[in-house]
Amino acid sequence: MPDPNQPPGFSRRSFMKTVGVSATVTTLSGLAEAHALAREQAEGEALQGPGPVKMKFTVNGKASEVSVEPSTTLAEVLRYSLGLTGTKIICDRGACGGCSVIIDGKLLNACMTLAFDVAGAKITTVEGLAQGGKLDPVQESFLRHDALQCGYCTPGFIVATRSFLNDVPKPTLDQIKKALGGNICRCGTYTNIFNATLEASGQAPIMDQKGVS
Amino acid sequence: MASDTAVSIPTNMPTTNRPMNLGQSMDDNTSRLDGVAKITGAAKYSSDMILPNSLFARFVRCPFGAASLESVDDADAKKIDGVIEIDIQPKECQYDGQPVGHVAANSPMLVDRAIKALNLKWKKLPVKTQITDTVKEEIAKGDVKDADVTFAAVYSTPVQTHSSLETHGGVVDHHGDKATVYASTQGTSSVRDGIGEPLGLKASDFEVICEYVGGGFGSKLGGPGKELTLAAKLSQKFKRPAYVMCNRADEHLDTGNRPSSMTSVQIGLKKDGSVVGGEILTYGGTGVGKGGGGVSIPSGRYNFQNVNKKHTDVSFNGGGPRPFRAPGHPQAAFAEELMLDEAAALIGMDPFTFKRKLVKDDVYREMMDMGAKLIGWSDRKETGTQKSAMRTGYGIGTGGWGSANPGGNAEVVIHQDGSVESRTGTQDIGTGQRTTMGICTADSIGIPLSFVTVQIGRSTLPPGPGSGGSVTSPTTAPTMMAAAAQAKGKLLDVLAKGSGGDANEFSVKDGVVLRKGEKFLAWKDACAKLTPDGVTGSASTGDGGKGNSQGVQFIKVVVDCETGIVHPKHVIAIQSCGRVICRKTAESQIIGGVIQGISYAMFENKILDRNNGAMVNPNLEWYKILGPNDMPHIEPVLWWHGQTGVKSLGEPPNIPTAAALACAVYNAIGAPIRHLPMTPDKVLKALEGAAS
Amino acid sequence: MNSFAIAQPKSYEDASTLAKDKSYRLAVIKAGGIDLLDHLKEGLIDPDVLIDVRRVRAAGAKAPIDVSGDTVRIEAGTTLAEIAHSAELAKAAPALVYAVESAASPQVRNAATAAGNLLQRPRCWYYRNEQFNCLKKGGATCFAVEGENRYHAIFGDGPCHIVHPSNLAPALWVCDATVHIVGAEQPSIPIRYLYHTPDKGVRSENNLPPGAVITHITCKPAKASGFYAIKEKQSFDWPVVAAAVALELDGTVIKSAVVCAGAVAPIPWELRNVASALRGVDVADDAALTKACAGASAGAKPMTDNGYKVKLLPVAVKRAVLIAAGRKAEVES
Repeated sequence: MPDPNQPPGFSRRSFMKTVGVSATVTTLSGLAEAHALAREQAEGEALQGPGPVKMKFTVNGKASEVSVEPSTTLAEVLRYSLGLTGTKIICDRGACGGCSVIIDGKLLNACMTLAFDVAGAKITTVEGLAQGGKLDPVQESFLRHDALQCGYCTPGFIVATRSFLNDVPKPTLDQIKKALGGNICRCGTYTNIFNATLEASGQAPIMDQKGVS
Repeated sequence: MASDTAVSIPTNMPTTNRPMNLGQSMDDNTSRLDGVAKITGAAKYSSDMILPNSLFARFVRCPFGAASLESVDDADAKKIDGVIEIDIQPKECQYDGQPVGHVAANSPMLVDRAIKALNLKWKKLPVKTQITDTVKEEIAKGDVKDADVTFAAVYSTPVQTHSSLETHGGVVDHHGDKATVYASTQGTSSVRDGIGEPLGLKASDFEVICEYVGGGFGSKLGGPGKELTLAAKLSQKFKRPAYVMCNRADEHLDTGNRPSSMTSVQIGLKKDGSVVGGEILTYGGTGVGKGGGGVSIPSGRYNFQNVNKKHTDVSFNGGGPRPFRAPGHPQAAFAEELMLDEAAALIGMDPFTFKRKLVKDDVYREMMDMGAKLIGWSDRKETGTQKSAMRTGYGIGTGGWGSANPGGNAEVVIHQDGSVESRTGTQDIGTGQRTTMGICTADSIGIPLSFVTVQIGRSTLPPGPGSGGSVTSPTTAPTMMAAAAQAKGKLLDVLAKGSGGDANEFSVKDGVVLRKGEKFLAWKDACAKLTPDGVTGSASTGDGGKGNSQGVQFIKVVVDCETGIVHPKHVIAIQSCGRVICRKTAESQIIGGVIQGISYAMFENKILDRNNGAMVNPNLEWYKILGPNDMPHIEPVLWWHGQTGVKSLGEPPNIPTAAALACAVYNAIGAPIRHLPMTPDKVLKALEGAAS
Repeated sequence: MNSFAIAQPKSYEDASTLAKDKSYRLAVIKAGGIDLLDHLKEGLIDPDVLIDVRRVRAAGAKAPIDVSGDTVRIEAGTTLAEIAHSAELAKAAPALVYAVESAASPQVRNAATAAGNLLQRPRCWYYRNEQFNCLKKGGATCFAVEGENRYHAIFGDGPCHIVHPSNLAPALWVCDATVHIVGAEQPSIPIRYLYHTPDKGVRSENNLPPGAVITHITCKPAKASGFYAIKEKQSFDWPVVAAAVALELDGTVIKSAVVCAGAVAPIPWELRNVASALRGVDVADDAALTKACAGASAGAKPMTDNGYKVKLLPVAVKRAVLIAAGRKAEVES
C-alpha cells in the first residue's frame, strides 16, 4: 500500500549538480512496470533535485518517463520532452487557459503545474481526446460550428470544454460562459464555442433570427 | 502526430442556427479544411517546431521607457551550463522592451535563467508616456457661422496591443547550403524576400513555411522581423536549428500596436440634421514610431460639408505602432459615431433618423433599416430619460473598407489520378484562406471540395499577398477561380480531342463530366485520359467583379449604474463583402471583428508608468481581453445582393463596434463616455456629471 | 525558473522544521503552487528548496471540508474548487462559497489551496515586477503613490498601498475564523490578527511566526452570510472592490452584522461602522439599507486614480447584505 504522503513514480536518486534540462523519454508498455516504480518510495527526507529527477506519467493512456529538473513545468515537459505540442504556452502565468490539460479528472493549467507535482498521474491533453480515429463529440461540434479561427487557443478550449461537460453534462449558456471564463481567445470565437458546447451536450445551439419581413 | 489521431471527417457539416445567412454564400456547409488538424492538436505552428539539438534565444530588453544601459555584467549568466551566447551592447533606449542584445542557450528555461542572472546597470531618463504629455487638449475651431447649433468635444482611445496568442518569431533550420524557415507570419512571401540576407543564401536554397499561425491581426506583416532575423544568424553560426520566439511580455512591449488617439471636434449643424461646417483635429500616439498614427475621421461615410481636418503624429516613449485590423478606423469611428449621437441629441433628433439621413450611400440606409428591426430599436428610450439602476441603451456604428484588385498568383493542377491541387503562397492566419481557396477551385471546376487539396503557407508556391489590408480574398479568389477554370479548360480540351468533339460541348457538374448536358465520364475516368503530368492552370489576374465592403452594427447594452459596469447584451453585425465564399468562415470573421471591437471599447489599455515609462501590465492578467463571461449574443448577418466580386472581410467588421457600443452606453446613461476604455470609473464619473 | 530541490515532508510539523532549517538559503512552502510559480517565473524569489505539502494532512483531518455542529473545518490544502462545490459550506457558510466560486478560473481553483489563498502576496504590478525595488521588496519607494494606482488601496496610511488580493480572507473574517498552525508557540491565530498593515511591517502582510505552517482553518457557521465582488471583467479578473457580510436576522430585520471589505486595503478591512449602522435595518427597506451601507468608505483616503472605489464599496456591501439575507435575485449581477 503506497505511503499516501509520498507521490508515486519517483526514483530515489537525486543529483546535487545542476546539469541543465535533459530528458530521456521511454515509453513503457504495460502498466505493471509503472506500478512497480510507483511502489518505490523516497525514504526519509531526501531532497528531490535540483538536478534532473525521473518522473513517470500516463499521458493519453500511454506510460512515459522523463528525467527533468523539478523546476520544469508540465507544459514544458509535454512540449519539449514528449513532443506533444498541442498544449500551448501562451501567457505562461495561468491567466489564459491555453495550456489546459486534464490531470486525474481535474482541469488544470499545465504552465502553472510542476511536472514533479503530477508524476504518477493520468494526464489527458488535446491529442488524447480523439480515440481510434474518431473525434470526441466536443471536437466534432467545434468543427461543425467553426468554433476556431487561428486555432492557437483551441486545444485549451476543447480540453476545458470536455472537462466541464464531464462534470456538468447539460449546462445552461450561463454556466458555459462561467466555466470557460479561464480561457481567452483573441480571434473571437466565443459565440461559436458556446453553440458547439451546447450541441456537444445534446442541446440546441442558440438560434439566430430568421430575418425581417 | 500520432497515427491514431488521424481522423477522417466529412467537411460538409450543416448547421441550422443562422437561417438568415443560408443561401448567401458559394458554400453554406463546409467546415474549415484545417479544422481537424487544429482541434486534435496535430497542427504544427512555428512555435511548435522544437527540433532536435535546437538553440533557443530571446532578446534582452530595456525595462524602462527611457534609459541608458551603462554597464553589462554577464559573468553569472555565462557560468550557467548550457548558455551558448550572450551578446549585449550598451546603448540608450527609448521604450520599455527595446532590445539591447540577446541570450542563446540549449533550452528556453536556460535562456530565462541566463537573462535573470544578468547584471545590467540602467540609468533612467525622463519620459513622455502619452499624447497629452506633448499636446494639450486642443479645441478645434472651424467655420460654423452657418450653423444653427455647434457641438464640440474631445475623444480619446488607448494604445491597443495585438496580443496574438502565438507570439512573434519562428525557427530557422540552417544546413549550411540549404535552410528551412518556420515563420509565424502574415506574409510568407515577404519573409522569403527578407530572410535571404541573414541566411546568407539564395532564394532557391531555402524555403519559408507557414502552415499555421496563431494570430497576427496586422502585427506580423512586412518581412521576417527581428526575431527570425536573429534566428537565421544564430542557426547559420552554430549550425543548429535556432528557435527565437517572444514571450508574453515581449509580445506586449515590442511587436507593434494600434496607436492611441485624441480627436478634437467642432461641428456646426442645422436643425434639419445637416452638417455645415467645422474642424476636426486628430492626434496619433505613435510612441517611437515614425508615422502610422492616422485617424480616419471624417470617414467619408457621412455627408460633412466644409469640415477641415488636420492630423499630427505624437511621439512618446513607447513601442511604435504596426497595422492593427483596420488601422486608423476603429478609433476614428468611435469618435465620429459618438460625436454624431451627441450632435443628434443637441438638435433633438433620434440618432437613427439622424444618421440614416446623413449617411451618403443607400446601402448603409438599407442596412440600418434592417438592423433596427433585428435589434429592436423601437424599444429604445430617449437618451437621458432613464433613472433606474439598470439602464438599457442602443447604439449604431458604420464601417466601410476598400478592396484590392485581383493579383495573387494562383495555380491549379489536375492530376491524372483525379486529385486536384490548389496552390498559392499565402497563409491562413485564422481567416479560412485555406478553405476559401478550396471552395473557389471546386466551384470553378464543378467538383466536390473533397477532390481538392489546398497548398498554402510555403514560399515555394506561387507568391501570394500578405494577409493584411483584407486583401487576401479579393486578390486570390478571382485568380484561383481563373486558374481553376484554365485547368478545367485544358482537361476538357484533352477530352474533346480524344473523342473527336468540340471543347464547348463539355462541362463539369458535381464531379461528373457532361457532354452536351449528358453524363460522359466520371471525374476520375476523365482525368485518367490525361498524361502523367496532368494539366496546370495558372493566373495572376482575374475578374474583380462588383461589390463593396460595408457594414452596420447595432448594439444593445445594459449599464449597471451603481457599479459602472457595461454589460453588452446583443449585437447585430450586418456585413457585406461582395460574393461570400464560405459561410462559416465569413461569419467567424464578423464575430471575431465584433469581439475585438467590444474588448477594445471596454477593457484594453497598454498602461505605461507615468514616471518611468515601464508598461505596468505586459501580461494577460492586467492587459484585459474580453473573455467568455463578458460576451453578448452576437449575430453575424451576411449581406449578399448578388454581387459577383469577392471583397474585403477581415477588417471591416472591426470598425463599427466600439463606436456602436459607446453610442449605446450614451443612450443608456445619458452621458457620453468619450475616452476608451469604458471602465467603471469613467462610467461613474459620467453619471455624476450627468446628475449635476 | 531557477533551479530548486523539493522536500516532501510527511507532516506539517516536519514541514515547519524544514522551513526553519538554516542550512537552506531559502526554503518556501509549496501547496497549490499558483502564487509561488508566479513569483518564481517573475524572478521575485530564488529558493533553493520547495517544501511540498500538497499531500500532507493535519492530525484530525477527516475530509477537505467538515461541518460538524458548531464548527466548520477546512484543511489547509483544500482547493478553492472543493470549497466552491461544497454543498455543506453552501448551507453552513455561504459567504465562503460565494467568495471563491467566481475567483480566478476553474483551472486555478483546482490547484489553489485555502491556506495558500490566505497567504498569497499582492498583485500590485510594481511588486510583481522585479525591476521595481519597492518598499515591500526592501527598497525606498512605493511606486503607486505617484504612479499608476487605479487598482490600489483606498484605506490606510501606507506607506505601501497594495490591496490584499484574497476573496476568501474577508469571507472567513465575517465567519470569525481561526487559522491553526504548527511550528510556533501559539497553536492558532484568529484571522482578524493574521494580517498587519504596512506601517507595522511592509515586507510581509501576515503575522505568521517564521517557519509556522497552517494546518487547517476553523470558523463558525454563518448561515446568513454573503459575498459580492465588483470586477471590471466578468471572466478571469481580480475584484476592484469586494465585501463579505455575515448577518444575524430576525425575519428580515438585521439583529447584528459583521462586514469585511476586500481589494480596498492592504489587509481585509473590517467595516465596524457599517456593521453598527446595519443593526435594526430591515433588508426589505431599500432606502434604509442603502443609507446604512453609505458609510462603507468613511475614512477612505483615495489615491489619484482610484477614487471610483470609494463609490463602489457601499454598493458591494449592500449587495453582499442582500445575498446574505437570501435575496440574491434582487442583486443584478
